[in-house]
Amino acid sequence: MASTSTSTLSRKLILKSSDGEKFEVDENVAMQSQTIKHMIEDLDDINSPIPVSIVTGTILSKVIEYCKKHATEDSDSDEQLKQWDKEYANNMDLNTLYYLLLAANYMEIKGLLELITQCVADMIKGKSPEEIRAHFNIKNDFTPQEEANIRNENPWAFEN
Amino acid sequence: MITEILSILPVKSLLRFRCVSKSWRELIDSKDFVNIHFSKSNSNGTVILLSRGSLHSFDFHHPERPATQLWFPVNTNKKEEDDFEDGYNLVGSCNGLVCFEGLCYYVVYNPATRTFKQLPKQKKRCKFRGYQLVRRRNMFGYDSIGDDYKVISFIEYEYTRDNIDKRKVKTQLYSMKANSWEIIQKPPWKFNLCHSRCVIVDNSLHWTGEKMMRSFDLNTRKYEEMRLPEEIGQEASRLAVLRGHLHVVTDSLDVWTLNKDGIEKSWSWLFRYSLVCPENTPSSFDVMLCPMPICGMKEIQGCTTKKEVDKINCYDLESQAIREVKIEGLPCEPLGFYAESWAESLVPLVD
Repeated sequence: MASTSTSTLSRKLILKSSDGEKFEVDENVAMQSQTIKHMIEDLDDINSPIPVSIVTGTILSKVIEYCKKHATEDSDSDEQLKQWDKEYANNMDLNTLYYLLLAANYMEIKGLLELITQCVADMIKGKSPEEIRAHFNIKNDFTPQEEANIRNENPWAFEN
Repeated sequence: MITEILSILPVKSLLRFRCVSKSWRELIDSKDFVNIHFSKSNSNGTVILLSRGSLHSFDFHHPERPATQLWFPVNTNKKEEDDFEDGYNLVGSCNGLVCFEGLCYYVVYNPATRTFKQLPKQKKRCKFRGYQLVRRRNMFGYDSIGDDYKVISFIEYEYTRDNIDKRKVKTQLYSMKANSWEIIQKPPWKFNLCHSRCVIVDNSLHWTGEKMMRSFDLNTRKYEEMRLPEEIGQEASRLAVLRGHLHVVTDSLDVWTLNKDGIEKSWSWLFRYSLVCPENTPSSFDVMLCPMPICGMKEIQGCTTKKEVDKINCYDLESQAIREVKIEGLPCEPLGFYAESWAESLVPLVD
């Protein structure tokens, strides 16, 4: 364990992405992630970079952006924070959202996970099965007849 | 991860996504997924509102969104319509399923999946010569131990010959698993038409009436009763559930909670809501007062004047806050609406 008990506010951590990019962040920002929180507890040397092994630098920078916003206890009201969340999520394409979702899941950041899950759900809820297959790269393993039968079970669900 | 995303989608999207691939269909049809999906959708404050011939849903967490008209067989199935003209009652709502009672039949609907199931006829109504069915009181619920949907029906028969006033009561229980009615032990109290809507706690239907709280265990079929607080007197009351605990809410908006200490049970008074609008006080003839619980978490007080049936005061049981909600998008219905807690679900109805 690191014996120097410097003020927690000033402690900095270094997060290292899967592609080797390093990010210096305040401890309270990084602690939004339960995974990192647990890692720090077991860490001998606080100054060595903490590997976030499955998250790329591009995605990690987005995760940190979210954590920074939610770590600061400034005057933002709940309403303003919600608005910020909305804009944050709306600025991303489905691909980025998907990797962000994997990152939030791996890093155990509950708020981010919920935000992105809801955002992806809103994006896909009006889509057709064909669009869903294209987005998630899913192979259609039904025969045309099987698919037609399923459609006929609830034809109204395919109308607008 | 995909389960997380799909579990917060509307039922309509999910029924469409069943044809994405075999694994998606398997996931969406699985019992675990149906349960997860319902638990998420049930955290909304949604109610269904029934008026003559139409069914709407309304989300109290998003009162700015207008009420949505739901699929209702009266509008789509001509054959059913004739029967429905005789009138029908909302028996209850549970896990997204809604049970209706017509004059001589019962139907269970899932408005979200647009499926319905007509229940078989009850056992021969009249076992006694000269007796006729006069009144019936029904409740609908889910037996989580037996994993079965059930309807309990208290039926009162009257002797119609010779002007002699004689009454008999029969109790029938419908099981969806067995798809049949069964005559069961009747309750140890007199038939009573006037009782509140029921709530389910500890796998038992609970309701109030005649200064008592009564219950029926859906699995063991045991009846129980307990006196309501003395102070309530003759006043009408109904039950609400907050975090699994039973609460009684009276017409004058007193809230009581049931304490359990081992097998000892007792009531304690919590608080009284104060009415916001003086013109909405129960003393006025122009007012229909019918508090009802929504969402299983919070209590809503439906306090509506005849002129404004779509305005409702919501009382939060937890924070004790009061807000007025105006429901947009409802048809003009001078007779008002029946309301029940409801949330979208994928629970299947098999014939």
